[in-house]
Amino acid sequence: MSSVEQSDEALFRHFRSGDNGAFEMLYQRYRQTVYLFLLRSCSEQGDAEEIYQDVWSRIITTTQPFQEGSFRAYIFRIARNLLIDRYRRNRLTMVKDDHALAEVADSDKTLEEKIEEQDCSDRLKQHLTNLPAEQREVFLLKEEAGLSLVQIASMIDVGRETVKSRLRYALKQLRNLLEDCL
Amino acid sequence: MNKSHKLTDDPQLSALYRAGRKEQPTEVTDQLILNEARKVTSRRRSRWIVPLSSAALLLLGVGLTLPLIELPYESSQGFEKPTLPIQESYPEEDLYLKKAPAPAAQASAPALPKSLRERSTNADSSPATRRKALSPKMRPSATTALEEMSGAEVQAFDAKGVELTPEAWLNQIEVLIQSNQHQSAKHQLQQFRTRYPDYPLPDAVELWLIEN
Repeated sequence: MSSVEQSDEALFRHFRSGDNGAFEMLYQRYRQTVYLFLLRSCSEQGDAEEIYQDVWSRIITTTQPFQEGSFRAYIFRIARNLLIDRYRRNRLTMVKDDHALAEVADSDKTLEEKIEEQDCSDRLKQHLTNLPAEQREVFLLKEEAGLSLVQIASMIDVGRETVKSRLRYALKQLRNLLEDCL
Repeated sequence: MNKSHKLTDDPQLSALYRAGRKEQPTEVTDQLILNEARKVTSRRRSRWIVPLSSAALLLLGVGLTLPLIELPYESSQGFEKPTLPIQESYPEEDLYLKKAPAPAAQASAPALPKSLRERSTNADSSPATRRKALSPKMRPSATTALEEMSGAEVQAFDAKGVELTPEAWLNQIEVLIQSNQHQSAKHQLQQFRTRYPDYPLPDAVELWLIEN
């Protein structure tokens, strides 16, 4: 069985046994999603980069055995904890997303459509940073991390109904603000 | 209140969010992380090398040392085997030793004095009987040769006799006894005793010693 077909958990176990190839596979799977989760949660790209490295450093050097649950939940829990630590320490403030515009890859669309889509995407990012932290967190854990209701509730240590309510508010607010894009 | 286990979904908002997923970590960051992982995995792999190679070395050492320890132990057990320096001198004797039955030995010893012959045949399992069976073929030829020996030749035989196997040497002594060369037999026996003090003598030789 090749490592492409292996689960995240199996890859992580292989890595813990000394298989560097398993780690590279795992890294490719989570590279962007962890980075975006941090980037959308942080005010500064530099902070996101720093926390991103810390997350992987924790994954690499951890000596505690990986017992249960999914690797996905495990890595996003680490990311969230480091984010909270950093937020408390530096009292980070959420600012507008000032990253350079990324190139739009879809070549089937007209230039106008591309610009419009880019504009909507930027507005979503901006409104996302303006959401209350609890709502943004639930939104990102669902959309970026792809975690389930149970996993999110367990991670942030609140009831399932609270998670659902926070997400409902976040979606409602974003939909109102981006009505012309949807 | 909605009690389902699913989160509220907004496909349009999700699509818009996914469309904006363009940013990626820099290559420098990627390399830093991958290098750190490489270092850790190589450390984890080498963690097994030292104890594994130590165990292998220990096994090898024990395997090589054990036979060396057993060798002196075996050699110290019981009777010290005499050296067989001229074993190659009697190759057919060894063959005969394995095949020849005891009666054949009796038949091929016509020159043995009657009294000696009778006594020696009484003890079939005695070392003498066995020893007679060792080289019955050799004995007649040796007898003839010794009968023709001069004094000088006996001296030469003495010098050679030191190199004989104990069995062959005793056979030569028996032949000397049979051919009534008692002085030479005594001389040879003395030398034999000096060299192999604990080696058992054949009954015939012992009887001859008592009688003389």
